[in-house]
Amino acid sequence: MRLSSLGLETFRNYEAERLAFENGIALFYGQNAQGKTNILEAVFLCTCARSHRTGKDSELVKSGHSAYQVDIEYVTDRDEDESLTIRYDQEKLKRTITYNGIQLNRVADLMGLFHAVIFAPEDLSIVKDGPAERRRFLDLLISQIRPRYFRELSIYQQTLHQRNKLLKQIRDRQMEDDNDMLQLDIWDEQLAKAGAYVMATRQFFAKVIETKANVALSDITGGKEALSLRYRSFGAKLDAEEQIATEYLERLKTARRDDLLRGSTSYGPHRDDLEIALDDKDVRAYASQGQQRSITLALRIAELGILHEESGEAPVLLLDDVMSELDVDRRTNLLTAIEGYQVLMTCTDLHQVFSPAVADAIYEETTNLEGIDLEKKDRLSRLGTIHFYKVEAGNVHFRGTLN
Amino acid sequence: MARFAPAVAKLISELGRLPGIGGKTAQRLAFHLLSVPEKNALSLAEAIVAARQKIKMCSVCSNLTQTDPCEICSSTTRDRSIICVVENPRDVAAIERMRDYNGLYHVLHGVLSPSDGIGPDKIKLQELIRRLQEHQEVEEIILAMNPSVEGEATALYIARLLKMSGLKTTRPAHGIPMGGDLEYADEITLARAFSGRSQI
Repeated sequence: MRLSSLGLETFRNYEAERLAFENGIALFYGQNAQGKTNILEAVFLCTCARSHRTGKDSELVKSGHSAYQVDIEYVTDRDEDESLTIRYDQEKLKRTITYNGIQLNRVADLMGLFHAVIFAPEDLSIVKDGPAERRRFLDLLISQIRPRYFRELSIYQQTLHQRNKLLKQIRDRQMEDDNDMLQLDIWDEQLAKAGAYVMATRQFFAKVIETKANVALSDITGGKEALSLRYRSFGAKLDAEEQIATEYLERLKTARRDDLLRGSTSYGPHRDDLEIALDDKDVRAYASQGQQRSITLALRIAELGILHEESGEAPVLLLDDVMSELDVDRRTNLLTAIEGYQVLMTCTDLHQVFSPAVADAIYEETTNLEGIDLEKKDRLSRLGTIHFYKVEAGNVHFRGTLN
Repeated sequence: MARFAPAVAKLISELGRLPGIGGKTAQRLAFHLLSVPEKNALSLAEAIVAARQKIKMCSVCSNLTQTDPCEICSSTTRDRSIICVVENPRDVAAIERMRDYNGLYHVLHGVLSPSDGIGPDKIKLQELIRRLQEHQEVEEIILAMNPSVEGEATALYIARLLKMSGLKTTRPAHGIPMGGDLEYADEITLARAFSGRSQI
């Protein structure tokens, strides 16, 4: 799919902005905290109604205002014009999503309409931080290609919430009867059913991601290390969803005493992890910063490939300050992996990404960039025409095109 | 700051407590009631009073009724061997609209939801159990709670409670609405409809 326009209204530090995109790369440059990332954030928001940086919609509203609106127009690879609008009113606490002018009832209906993959400095947390980050990575990816997954996951979370509440109520009452146990039986059963689907699906996609990420990693580093992604769960040894459900139910029964004391549920997909290892060594503990960065990149490239294959639509790529963090070789390899995709990227220092001739020309606001001799460093231009936009205090100015 | 005369403010705040009515709508309704002929407004007030005073819960099925037992429970033509358990009176009305079901009802007035503090003692479940003990002619219980997380849990709970009784417990099938488009059905409905597919 190809993004053709983006509109922002009182979103982050933007008052009102409309951008039209042409083929090639849209590059946003400027000092820190001017609003470069906010543009990518707005585009990403249209994939799942969630920012890649925050879970709070209120943070996205420009200060002094009560609502934000983001809208995009894009052309699918089947050549259909589509549009999406996401509006959030923080006084009414109401989010309104419109697809081709028709209001959608649920966020679930947004999933899978518009595809974008974001590469951001925050991605490193997938490899470095706790299991929650990795579960989020899995959940978001699977939700976009298996709409049912998103709904089953919400059912699971709702059931888990009910079970935990019941556990706490029984504990705080300091007495229990057969009715309590029967109620727990029921929530256990429902939890096992929804949970088994979530676990089985995550397990399946962990394998799919592993295969793709391995190819991507060896492309990036040229190395031979084997990357393994293991879905870490008691259900991991079981294949069929029914088997996982049976085992899960068994575990819930065994752990019931403990769960009653803790007032929470000790087994289930909400506790699982995606273990990432390089040559069988846990990357959290053993990989270098550089390796962790390469792995993160490989995971995102895998995501890109899976989204593309499953949906038949080429996702839009959002690169947030990624180029400057990579050495020249890795950068080249990344560029090879993303050839053919529409790219929106941000960059703080053009000198880090381009040759002095190109960077200076842009900084000096030479709009005619023809005739500049491109160096190896300017390889980005191999991916297509680069459109430069300067971002300053919530304003975007077109600055030139490099063919 | 007194923006409205006290009586008006009171009316607005009472209207604003109704479900689905926000502050602005409450104001509009209040001023509407004050602008229409007095008899229209009083007729609404009387309707509320009459409904509240005359409508009570049926002592058998807990449905809302003007006579006790309700019309359905006291009917001589209905099939007394089957009881359909529903969440609220509106569900009874919906099933009655179908005109295809001739059994009795039992209204729970809620579903199990620990997060809202609703346990088995907060819904009309004891009443159902007692009713079943008193009426041995009942053979089948249809558990027609909504297909929500809490509705499913409540249905399952009642089915377990009645397991030893030898009663037949059934649950309406999940599926795609008639006249509805397959392409507009949500994923879970479709998934359930497929796993519950039947041979033709």
